[in-house]
Amino acid sequence: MPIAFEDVSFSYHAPATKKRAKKGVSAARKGAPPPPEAWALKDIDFCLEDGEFFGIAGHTGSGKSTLIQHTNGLLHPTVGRVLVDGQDILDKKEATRARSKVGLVFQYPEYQLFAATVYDDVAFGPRNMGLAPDAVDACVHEALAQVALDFDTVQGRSPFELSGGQQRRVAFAGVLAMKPSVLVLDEPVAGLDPAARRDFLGLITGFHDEGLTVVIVSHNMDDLARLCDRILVLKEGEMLMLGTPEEVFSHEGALREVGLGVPAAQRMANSLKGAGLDLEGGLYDTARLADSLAALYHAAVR
Amino acid sequence: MIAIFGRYWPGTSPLHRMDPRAKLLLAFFVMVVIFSAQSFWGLAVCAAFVFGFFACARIPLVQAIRSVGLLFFIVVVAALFNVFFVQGGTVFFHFGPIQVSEAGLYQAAFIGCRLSLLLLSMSLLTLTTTTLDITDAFEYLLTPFERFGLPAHELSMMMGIALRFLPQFAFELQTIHRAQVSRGANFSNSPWKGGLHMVGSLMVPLFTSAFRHAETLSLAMDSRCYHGGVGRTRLAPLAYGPLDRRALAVIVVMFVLVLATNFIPR
Ligand SMILES: Nc1ncnc2c1ncn2[C@@H]1O[C@H](COP(=O)(O)OP(=O)(O)OP(=O)(O)O)[C@@H](O)[C@H]1O
Ligand SMILES: [Mg+2]
Repeated sequence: MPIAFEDVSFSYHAPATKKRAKKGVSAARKGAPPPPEAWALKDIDFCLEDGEFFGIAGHTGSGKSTLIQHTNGLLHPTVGRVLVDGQDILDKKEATRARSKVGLVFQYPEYQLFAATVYDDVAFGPRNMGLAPDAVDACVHEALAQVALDFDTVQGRSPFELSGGQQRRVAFAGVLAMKPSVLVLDEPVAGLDPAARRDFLGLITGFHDEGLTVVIVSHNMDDLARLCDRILVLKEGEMLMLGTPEEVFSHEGALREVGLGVPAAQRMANSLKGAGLDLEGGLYDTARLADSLAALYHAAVR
Repeated sequence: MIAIFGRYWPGTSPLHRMDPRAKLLLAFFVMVVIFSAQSFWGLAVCAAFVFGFFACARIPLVQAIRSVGLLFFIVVVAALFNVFFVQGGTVFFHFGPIQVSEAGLYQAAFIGCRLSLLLLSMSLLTLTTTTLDITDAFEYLLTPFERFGLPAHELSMMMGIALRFLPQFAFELQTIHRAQVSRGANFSNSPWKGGLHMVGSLMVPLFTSAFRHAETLSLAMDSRCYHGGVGRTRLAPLAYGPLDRRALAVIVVMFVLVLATNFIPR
């Protein structure tokens, strides 16, 4: 289920109103354009393909959260269109449909838990979709299994008694229970310790392996390089780069300029290359860098 | 920028520069003046002055009206009560026990105008005064009552914190709302429609977040050795100036004019 952004610009000062929504896109293009600095997003144009693992990076306030809220019609472009499955989600019915297909997990999702029991919280989404009780039950079972929580131990407990990490798992399950085909995560590992980070990234990789399209917003370049098929870098609401990790991380200077880095191994490889070492291009992770350096060392000793 | 009741509208007009204590007291005085108007003549005088104040503060009229927009339902409810409960004069309409008469309509219109003017003048106070200034003024004016055991500093501190967190909670409510909409919640018509569960899905996270903020805030205050108001000094002590005396004069003139209109026969 591809999601296409067609020349999307968005301003918080001139959001697409309901009136405009009824009249369609042409009306949204009219009206006084907001001053240039007021754009939270500007000329975003890309297509999210099926089965992709898509990363979004950018400095604070670059519009990452704003962008992902366009994927299920929480925000509508001031100019341009967002097509989910070929349908413009400016239309209310299409937006509702998109919400059952695109699961959006906000930053610190555990702060949005509310129900008396874990079961009820996870069942909130499926119930809203109007599923029958036994279908809801199946969804909850499956979702809790997907986030590696034991159904019988947690289902009757209050979400507020759980640990922070477990709460976040429950919140993930609440979105997965709606059986989305695209999962969009806003900084899913923010505020976790390294071990929990690894666990969560493992879970997310698992969702991707099960066939979900995954979009992940992250500040961690190592994670993005390791996990993603493509990375979009935003700068002040505009697309700075879009490409495979290899392409993106070859522009170390440009990334530095917007306050982002490159993965640690890549950084080291780049500076070694700068110092005259004969390393090939391409993306380096720790293992590959170690292998290349070992090879160079053996060649030199021999 | 949009003016919202309780939000500060930055500016450097005379109204912005007045001493907040004088402003608070005079706002109270204006309230008394508006209540002392007994006829539409008096209200007209009040309206002229209130809109004059807005012009003086350089706040566009549209924004002024917008700032009280949300509270306008109070005015409507109060006016409706009067339509049905005040009787006298010609009866225009009746349906069973409900009866709309001339006196009722007159009274409703009068109360409606009076309340609107009251709201506008209160809104002007918050639009031209930062919350910090308001709480400072509040504390200062309550200090005399400390002798009777009133915790003036603590009260104004609580007020300041509450005001500071209103926009924060509004923002968090928006995020929570979006998160639940993403999970298929439908609040589009009314949050009450889907039953208690829908309201709970917004209110429970909002309250837990309020408690979380309260806890961190008290920790932060403790770790900065906050110990209440005793012995605290001020960086910018408040001082009355000629501006405040002139403002007092203007309001006294307003009061006298309004009292005078009460002698105009209806
Ligand atoms: N509700 C809002 N109302 C008005 N402006 C907003 C709102 N939310 C965000 N903005 C503005 O839009 C811009 C983009 O914000 P956004 O939250 O999308 O950034 P971000 O890339 O997610 O940043 P971060 O890394 O800090 O999460 C910022 O300049 C921000 O000030
Ligand atoms: Mg963000």
